[in-house]
Amino acid sequence: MIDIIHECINDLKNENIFLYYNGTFPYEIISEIAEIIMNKTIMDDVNSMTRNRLFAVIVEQMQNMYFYSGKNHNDVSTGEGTIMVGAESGQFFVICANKIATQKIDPLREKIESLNAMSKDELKAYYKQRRKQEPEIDSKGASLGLIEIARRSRKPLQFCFKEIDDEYSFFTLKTIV
Amino acid sequence: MNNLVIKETKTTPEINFDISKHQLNISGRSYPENISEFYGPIFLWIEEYLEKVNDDQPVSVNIDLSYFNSTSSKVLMDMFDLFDESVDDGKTITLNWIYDSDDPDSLEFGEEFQDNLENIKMSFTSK
Repeated sequence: MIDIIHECINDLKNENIFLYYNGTFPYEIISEIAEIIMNKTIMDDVNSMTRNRLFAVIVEQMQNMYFYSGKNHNDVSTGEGTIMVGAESGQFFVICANKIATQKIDPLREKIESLNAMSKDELKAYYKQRRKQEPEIDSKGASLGLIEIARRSRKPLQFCFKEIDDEYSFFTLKTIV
Repeated sequence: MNNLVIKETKTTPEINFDISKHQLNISGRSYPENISEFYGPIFLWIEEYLEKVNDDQPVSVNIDLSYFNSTSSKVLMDMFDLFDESVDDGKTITLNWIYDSDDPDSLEFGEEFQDNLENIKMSFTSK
């Protein structure tokens, strides 16, 4: 097995991924990863708007995994997934991947597609309107996370679902900052 | 009633509510793991303070947050609504939004709160 590690690392490098984490997401990990990326972008002299956008996208995406990837709906301790952060032609990207219940796919797909269809101004108006309302029934936050991610993203959100078995699928989301 | 002082952590802002100066300062980053656990006591303090403070006593609320997540954004909106209603009831409150002049987003976030407030006119200060 150890003979393929070098290859795995090279694959990540070739994709310009500089941070990779796979496992559970206790809250300390979320803040630690966010902090690492903030420090790296300060060292690399990235402008403060891009830095803050990247920080925001990383936190919101990891929180989504923290809250929604548990095996049971209300079990946050088992939230497990993968985050990758990379840089490509002057832009950063954040990829998060985790298991979700297959029955959650359709509403999630609809949500992302509707956000992708909105202009920045429409996203802003929608965000402000949602913030004034009560959170959605199955939300563990303010139902604003995905809108926030879409607002900070330079391009439409990229996503895909892959079926694992009857019950679960694999959800991948990529944001470009 | 006592001052409310909470030290900053990686995920929660510094809270410095000073009764003698009538200054309510929130600064740092806000993305707490448990939003109601962190902000619950802060709201209770604010509600009690707004009941006790005289109408003509100037109160300044200073918000200097370099980052807040979407859940905190909702909580801030609720908090500003409290101040907004108090102003409608006759209180004298100024709400200062301190933003990073290098980050246009940070000014925009403040303006978005203003858009949803009816009575308070926020002031914006760059740092």
